[in-house]
Amino acid sequence: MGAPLTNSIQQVVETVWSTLLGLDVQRLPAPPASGADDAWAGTVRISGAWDGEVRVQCSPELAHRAAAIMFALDRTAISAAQAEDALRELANVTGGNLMEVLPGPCELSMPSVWSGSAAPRQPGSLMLSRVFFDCEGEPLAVVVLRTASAS
Amino acid sequence: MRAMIIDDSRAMRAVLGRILIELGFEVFEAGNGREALERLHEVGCTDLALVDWNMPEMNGFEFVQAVRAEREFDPLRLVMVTTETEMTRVVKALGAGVDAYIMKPFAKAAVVEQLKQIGLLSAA
Repeated sequence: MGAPLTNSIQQVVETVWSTLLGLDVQRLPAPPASGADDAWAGTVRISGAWDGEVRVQCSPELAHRAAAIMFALDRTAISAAQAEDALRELANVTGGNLMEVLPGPCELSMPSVWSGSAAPRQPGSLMLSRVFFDCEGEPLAVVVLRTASAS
Repeated sequence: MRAMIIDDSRAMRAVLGRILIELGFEVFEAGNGREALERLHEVGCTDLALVDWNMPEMNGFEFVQAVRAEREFDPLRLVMVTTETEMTRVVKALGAGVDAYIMKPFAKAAVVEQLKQIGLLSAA
């Protein structure tokens, strides 16, 4: 599933960010040198024929910019709650679209947002893919984790 | 025309709200199906509801079932706007009385096209 999943992640991320936000994302060959320590993560769990999780990780600044576009407000007017709401929805849409390339039928959980390294990881979960992007000079990554007990 | 946007994401409600207002709708919002049912009873005659599937308390499918069980809401056009793209779910929603289905992410043109299809906007 490695390369096809990675390609699907890239395609979904490009589509979601351009269609919903009008922003271009550029895939990076490696993680950016900085920006991971304070990253936020929008997460959504997938359960059913395939069990795992999709995480959309980005800088707080990028989450605020996304919210500014969705709420049609100036960046400086965006609250942390609005930025978290926007990132939750981006995780929801990204996870929902990635379900199309995963074995089904599956269900999507309600999305959550975590800051820094606080996002809990299921014991023994396996990282299937992590794809890095640049969006307006800000770091963005999408991670797909598979729960270990899944067949 | 009046429209209700039902989505637990305030950001998504804002995106959809702008589109509908540009199209001339008077827009109301709700964060889940239960709140939407209450708002519908308060607001009265409503032409359109854009409904997310995955919501807390009462999800979009349960909302559709509840609305279609009440004759007073028969004229209400129901459009699911959701990431739930599995064909079984689409069929289930249409069978429950949904008039159209829009996949997230969407562009304004997709919303306009679906509203034309169900006769809420002129096809011209």
